Amino acid sequence: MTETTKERCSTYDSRAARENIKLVVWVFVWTAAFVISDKAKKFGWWSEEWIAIASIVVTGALGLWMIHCYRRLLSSMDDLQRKIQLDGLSMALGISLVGTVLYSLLVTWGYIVDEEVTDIMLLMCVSYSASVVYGTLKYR
Amino acid sequence: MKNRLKVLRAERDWTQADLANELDVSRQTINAIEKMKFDPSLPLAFKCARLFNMPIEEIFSDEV
Repeated sequence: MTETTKERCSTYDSRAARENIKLVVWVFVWTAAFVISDKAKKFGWWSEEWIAIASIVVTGALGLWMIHCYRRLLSSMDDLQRKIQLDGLSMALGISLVGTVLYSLLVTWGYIVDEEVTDIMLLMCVSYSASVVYGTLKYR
Repeated sequence: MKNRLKVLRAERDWTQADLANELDVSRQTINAIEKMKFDPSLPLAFKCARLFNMPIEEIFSDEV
């Protein structure tokens, strides 16, 4: 291998790691903004309406930036990693769709009384993560 | 799809990581292609052909 090749060594890994770290940071920031905004309403941390609206706007803006970071992560990945992500996303979408319908039926029939939208979000996150882990192990 | 990546790599005494770095992909991808668990995209197949200085059909074949 040439020296140039060695210099390029781990270029892919370092680029993927950098984009991964960026995404993790923005997911954390977005989640924190969501939790703060949600708890502020529940516990009445601030009463001014403009602060409430600002917190909703900030949470939305951070969410959009998080999506942008995820798109950048996807474009930095190679073919196989993208396939693993696509499998994960399709699994998360399918399970969330079916799960939401089942969940609404359970609410309708009174088996769930304290419904929370976060239950569906949790289902989506768990199914996505499980599918990505499965894909990573499958092609290891 | 069959491929000769492992043989070509061994001939050059390269590790999977070396080949991955040459092709700018992850080592996992090289491993999956060598084990025929994953078929590379056309651009990646062309990259392989350029790297080994061979026609694509001499590296990849349509046999099962």
